[in-house]
Amino acid sequence: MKIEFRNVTFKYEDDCDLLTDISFVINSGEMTSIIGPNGSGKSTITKLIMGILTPLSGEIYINNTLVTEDNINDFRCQMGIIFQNPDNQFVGLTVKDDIAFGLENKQIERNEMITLIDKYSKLVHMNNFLNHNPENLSGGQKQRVAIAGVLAMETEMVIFDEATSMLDPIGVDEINKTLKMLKKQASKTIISITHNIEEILYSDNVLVINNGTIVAQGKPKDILFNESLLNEAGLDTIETVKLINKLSDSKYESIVSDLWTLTFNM
Amino acid sequence: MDINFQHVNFKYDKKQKINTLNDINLTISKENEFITILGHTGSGKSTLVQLMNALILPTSGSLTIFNQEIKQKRNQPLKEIRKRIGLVFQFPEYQLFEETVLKDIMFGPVNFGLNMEQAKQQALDTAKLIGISDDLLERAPFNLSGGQKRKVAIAGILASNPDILIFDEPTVGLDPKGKKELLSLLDKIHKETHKTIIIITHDMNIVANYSNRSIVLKEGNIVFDGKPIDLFNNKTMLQSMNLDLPYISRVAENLKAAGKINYKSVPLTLDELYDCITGDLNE
Repeated sequence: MKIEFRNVTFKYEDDCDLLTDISFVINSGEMTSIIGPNGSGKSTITKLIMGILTPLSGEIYINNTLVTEDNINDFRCQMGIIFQNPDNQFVGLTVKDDIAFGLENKQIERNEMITLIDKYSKLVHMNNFLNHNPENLSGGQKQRVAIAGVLAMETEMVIFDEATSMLDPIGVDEINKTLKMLKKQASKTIISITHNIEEILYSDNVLVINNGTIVAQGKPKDILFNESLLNEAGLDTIETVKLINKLSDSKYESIVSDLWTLTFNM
Repeated sequence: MDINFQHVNFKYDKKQKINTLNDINLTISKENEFITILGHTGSGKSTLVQLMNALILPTSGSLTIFNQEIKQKRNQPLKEIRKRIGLVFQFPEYQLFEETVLKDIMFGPVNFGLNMEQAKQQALDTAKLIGISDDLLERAPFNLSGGQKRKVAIAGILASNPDILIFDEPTVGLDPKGKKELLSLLDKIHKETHKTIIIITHDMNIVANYSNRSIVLKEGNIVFDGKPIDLFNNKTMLQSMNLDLPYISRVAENLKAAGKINYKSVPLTLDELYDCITGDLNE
């Protein structure tokens, strides 16, 4: 699913601009991270993509078609979203019921439903918890169940809207691993909205947003390397990259190359 | 010692088979300690800090706080202890309730007996220390951003001028800038006033960069109490506690394994690793 914003501006009535003249392209099958501090306008972008909000000016194109009120529903059923708070997205009494919820709404036939639940609970390593009550799971496990529920709908695109920000480091690690694996195995379009810099490492593209405008876009390595830009946006780069920036003398070339490898592979 | 646990046990419910905290022995001074409390969800961290300001009472054993024996009974004078030991809960911004930021910060000092004039002065001084700008003081706390709200909530505790400050996961949910600001502030308070600061955290980088003592809890027992470096240098012990090394230490281990650097004690901070790299290569 290809998403394109052309000069999009958005504000609520009588308020100052939340987003000003935003333009970007998210290519089909790629993973894009949208990173910015609290209150920068990240979640407004999600709402615009999903058609929950409409731009004040500018256009949004999905698969090269201009999005309008008439066609937004056709696109929206191809989008899944994982929210911030794992506790707010459970409806079933067991993990299995919960993953089944969306499928039931879509009136999927029973045998197919069982196949889908089996497939996606395995993918997020939660297949041994199918009969558990979601309430008794850890934060990271709950989010993985929510991910399985969204994946089972087999939409073209999945959005992670600050899916790790309420988790402890173990939970964050679990979700990062799941994302990484998803990127390898499924040819989905993934959007990850975050203020956690580590989540951009395995993205194809990164958009940095601050005060409602895009202040940089590019490959993770280029974004990470620009420490001053990230600092200006109230963000922080990864510690290895800070070290790389300090080791500017050419005699450290070999160790700098090791540090880059570790940054992306540790 | 200012806080003294001797064989303290704690259960929330008499019927509970296993103690929530078991045979806790611990002494904490009100000066110069920067303590991180570590352990998994459910290991007893929050229970331990609630005992430290007598918010809950020990089931058995002896707990003394500022020379006052805390007994297992109601109607004992605890207000002085609550004033001297400030406890900031997780997501403290949910507890703001006054009409203005200034009134919210003043609430503690007034409650602990200062007159309005003194309390206001105390609140203004604290707001300045924390970096809450004057134009925010007359605003409603609910309209502030998440990071600002948390600062106000922390100012409310600091304004009572406690001797020891305890924080339950203070950085969770803050963005990187908010996190850095808050930690620098705690570090500044610690360095300037020498007050003891105690932080519950899952973040090994906070442990490595700020604390001079770590207490690890596992299933209600204290399994480590000592310097962070001694914790991080003992890989087997770390693994048995399900704890990880700080990020920068894991980088150092990888570089050492690749034969790129060498060290006796694992670097815990960026500066230590930098010194290790530049020192080795200069030789």
